[in-house]
Amino acid sequence: MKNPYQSYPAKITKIVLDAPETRAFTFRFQDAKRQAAFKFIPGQFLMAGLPGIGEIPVGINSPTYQKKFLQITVRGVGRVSKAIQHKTVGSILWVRGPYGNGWPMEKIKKKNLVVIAGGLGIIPLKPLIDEASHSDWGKKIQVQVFYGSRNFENLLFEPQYKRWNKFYRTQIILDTASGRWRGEVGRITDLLDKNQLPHDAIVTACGPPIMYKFLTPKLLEKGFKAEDIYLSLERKMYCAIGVCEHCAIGDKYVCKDGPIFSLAEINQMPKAF
Amino acid sequence: MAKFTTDKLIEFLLKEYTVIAPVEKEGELLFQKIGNAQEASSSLQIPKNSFKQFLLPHEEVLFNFAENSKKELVSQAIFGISIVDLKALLLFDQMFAKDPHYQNRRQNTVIIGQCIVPDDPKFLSIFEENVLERLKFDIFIDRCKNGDPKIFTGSSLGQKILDRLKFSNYEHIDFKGAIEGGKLDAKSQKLKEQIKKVVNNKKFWEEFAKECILCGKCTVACPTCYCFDLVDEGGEISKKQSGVRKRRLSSCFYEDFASVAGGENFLKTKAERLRNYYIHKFIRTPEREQLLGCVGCLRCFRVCPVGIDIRKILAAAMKY
Repeated sequence: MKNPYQSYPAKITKIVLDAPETRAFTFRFQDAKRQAAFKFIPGQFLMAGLPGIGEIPVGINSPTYQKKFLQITVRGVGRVSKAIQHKTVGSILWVRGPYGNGWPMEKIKKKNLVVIAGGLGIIPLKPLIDEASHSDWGKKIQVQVFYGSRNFENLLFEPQYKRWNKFYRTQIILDTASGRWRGEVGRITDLLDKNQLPHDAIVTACGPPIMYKFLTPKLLEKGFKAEDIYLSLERKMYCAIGVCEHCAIGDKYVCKDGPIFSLAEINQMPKAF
Repeated sequence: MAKFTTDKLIEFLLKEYTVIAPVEKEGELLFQKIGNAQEASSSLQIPKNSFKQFLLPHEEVLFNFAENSKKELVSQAIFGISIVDLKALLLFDQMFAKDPHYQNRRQNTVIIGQCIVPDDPKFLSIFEENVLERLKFDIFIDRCKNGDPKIFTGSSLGQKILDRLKFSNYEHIDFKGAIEGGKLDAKSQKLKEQIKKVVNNKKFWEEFAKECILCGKCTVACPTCYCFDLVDEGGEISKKQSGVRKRRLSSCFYEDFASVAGGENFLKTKAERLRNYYIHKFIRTPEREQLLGCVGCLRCFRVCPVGIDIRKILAAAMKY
């Protein structure tokens, strides 16, 4: 019987400081076979950690078609994510996964797509944006990306924007403007009001709870159906396989049934008091 | 043909297994390791603890970062496990079906059941007809009726043990699955629907959680509670990877159970934590496992320092 709690060593090959206290770690499994065989769906996550420190769930941000390595972006917020910040090229990360359901790819391929990211929420959406700009299905549908960030310094994956813009419109909005910024300032929902939205589209969104609070009524007001709006949820996780109970909401496990749920499913979940 | 006695059976088991049985200690009945048959209590009360710690220890190593972990050698017999605990065991077997650590222990554990009755047998009325067909055990001893105990076997291992002791007067019962037709029974179904009705009733949960001191005793005592943390210990020593990953049982009533870095806590209030406990047992487990997550042992009530009574909560939910 396979040990589901076993992690596998992966060597960090590149580290990029992308935002304050936020680094992109490129790594590959030390076992070349494991690396070559690794497959995932955009929106899935890994459990990554360090011996003696612990593990955290982290979204994969490298493209699905990149077989040579994987990439995660980690902001030093908690004990484990801070310890990971101190790692250098050549260090070992312990990784297991992928876990979770991923974005509803089959549904997305048949419709248009609106991608909405808030802050670090861009991370699990990046493989979806990458795949859309790199595949035949992506060429056949209309794609719109909205990305909101606290400020200019916190924008992630900036070198990618030019390429993304070649394929579809990428709209960015900041909470507060700083020196270099000439673009939009305000809330992410402002972008929905200011832009023509694709019809018959799937919405894929990831961001903090406060973003969802304002975003979901706005999306419904714009005519999107609850079953076409997909949100990625954050919860505490240990096992990542639906046993330890930390991430449970109602009869669902965020690690196994999610982390991505349709708004229709979310509406059925117990409300926070 | 030899006459069956529990002493003879326990003495026999002691030769080959570590034997765990209910023991009377300081006025309490507790499952623990015994050294001889006389230590085992003949009480037909339900022990304060369950089988849990012997199949899912409070702490165990799941993975070693430095080397391949060796399988722990287990060879144990749990004697005198009640029908309600056997029901909890079914749920554990399902939840940990793909867990090699649990399975290693489970597959090397002889289960000997007894017709022990919980404090309030009417609660959840667990004594349906032919209940033994729906339980997994090796040997079951029914000495609740007058006269000689009636002996049942539920596995070939159980038969072998009795044959070797020359106790041939037993009846074999084939396991017919945990539930009839693979579907949740009507009573549990009804309970699930009623709890669903009060899920978003903040007042309901606040009222029952008012006295709760978040001590987590109910989750320790409950034979179906298995929530756990993963704890990584040791660590990298001068670039050499070492350390272990442990499973440590935790409680959904604790402050950090659903809190994440950055300050968000998804089970912030007492009411939300109590509700989560009930959702798990009466909605999540029935929906996913087709089993009720409560076996009616009332240990939670017995250990609760403030007297939160599961019967009252369920009765209140039934009125909606």
